Amino acid sequence: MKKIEFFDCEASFGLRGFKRENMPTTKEEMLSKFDRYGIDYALMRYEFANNGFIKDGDLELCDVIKDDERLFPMWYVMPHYTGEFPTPEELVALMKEKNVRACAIQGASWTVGEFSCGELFNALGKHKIPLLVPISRIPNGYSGLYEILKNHGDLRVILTGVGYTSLRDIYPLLSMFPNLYISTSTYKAYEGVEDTVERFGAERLIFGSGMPDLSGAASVALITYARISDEDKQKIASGNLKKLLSEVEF
Amino acid sequence: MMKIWENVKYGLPVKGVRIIDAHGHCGDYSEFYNPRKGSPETIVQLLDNMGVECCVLSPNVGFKNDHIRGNIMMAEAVKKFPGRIYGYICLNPIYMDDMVSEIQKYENNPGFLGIKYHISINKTPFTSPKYAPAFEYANEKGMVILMHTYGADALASLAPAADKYKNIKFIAAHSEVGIENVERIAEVVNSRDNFYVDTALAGASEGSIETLVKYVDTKKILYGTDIAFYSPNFTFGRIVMADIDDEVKLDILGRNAEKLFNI
Repeated sequence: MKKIEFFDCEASFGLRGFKRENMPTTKEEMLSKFDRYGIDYALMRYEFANNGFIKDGDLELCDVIKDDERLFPMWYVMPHYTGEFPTPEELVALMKEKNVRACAIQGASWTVGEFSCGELFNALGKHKIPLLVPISRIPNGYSGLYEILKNHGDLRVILTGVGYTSLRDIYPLLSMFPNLYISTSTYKAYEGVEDTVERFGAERLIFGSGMPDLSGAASVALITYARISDEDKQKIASGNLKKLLSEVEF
Repeated sequence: MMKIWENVKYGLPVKGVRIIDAHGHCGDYSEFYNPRKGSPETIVQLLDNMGVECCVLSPNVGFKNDHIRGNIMMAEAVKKFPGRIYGYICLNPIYMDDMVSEIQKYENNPGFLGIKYHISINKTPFTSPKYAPAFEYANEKGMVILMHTYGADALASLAPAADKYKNIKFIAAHSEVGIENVERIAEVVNSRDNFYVDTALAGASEGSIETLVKYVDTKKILYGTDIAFYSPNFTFGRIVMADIDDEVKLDILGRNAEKLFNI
């Protein structure tokens, strides 16, 4: 029997101000957990970049993982208006230079909205660069997401934090916006993976472990034990993310 | 021989290990969309998918609004799938007058293994005298009671009841909520012979079960997934793949529940 290949869209490493006991934080600890759970590749975010040193941290991330063939950088991004962060055009040029093919909304206290991120969303959409977005960061939640997707049809959003109680909100959005993808790290509705695949196809789900904030073993088992075809499992586990990353246009 | 956790990587059922899921639900729940409506048929299919022998469930309608109707539904499910689906008698302290009569309806049914209360919905603290009629009866009979707790504070608030009713075996659910408070949880559980915890949790962090096992008496930890409220697959994965001693893992997966429920 062939093992499913896993490519994680939602993982991070680096020291943090608070960590629970037994929570892996270093790159080496994360790789050890990946080995145990059978996670083959990962887009990695860097905690240093998430903690107020976003541009320096993003650049440092590329150096820190440059010798790890299993790890690929995912940059934290934010609006450029304060001068702390490159303009969207500069950002895309930097991403091209460093071959960074995905980014994530930084988890700080600025508002994710049209007024702050419209230009950024336009640039990411134009270049087909996937953006990891926690639903908790969007004002008004799914209503806010609807507005973003309505205004930026080209933007490829990988949504995180979609819980088991959210199908009534996420299904209409999946039916309306083909560039909306769901990270599976919290997508734990009872037979929710199966039902989503039946309705929308396996292409809309992307494996995310949520490590180290969430259990990697749990995320793997959610897919391996899903009652869907092996072909669909493989799409969710790695195929869909590989395809998205291959379609980035610099 | 392949280690049992390797099965998870391949989505294979775990064989040769007795696995008992001590915390689940069945039936639809109005608060969110459940694609399979928590049907007993799909529950048994999912147990087979993972290699789980049986589960102990409470009916969602029972704690949401109508415990009497819920217990009838539960009785139908345990009758339909004997040995695979067991039930908890669902009670609501708001309706304290019928608590004992509801227990008496089902206590001799071998498909029912205990009682379930849901404090988040019934909004009655464990210290309330409204529980007294049922607790006194259950204490006399030496019954198991699964209590919905969520965090160390709620779990600790159950301790006075456990001290007063020493013949009741209390299970505090969702013990890994706020795992950073595990030493407080351990203090409550380890010092009481009649106090157990379960592993059901949708958002457990990486390393959580390893931490629980380090501090809490491992003979008091029960495998639970909240099956049919949400997917059981992920809790199954994180327990089976946990980086803990194999004997401890077997205790958690089934041996502790086997002894507690005498099944």
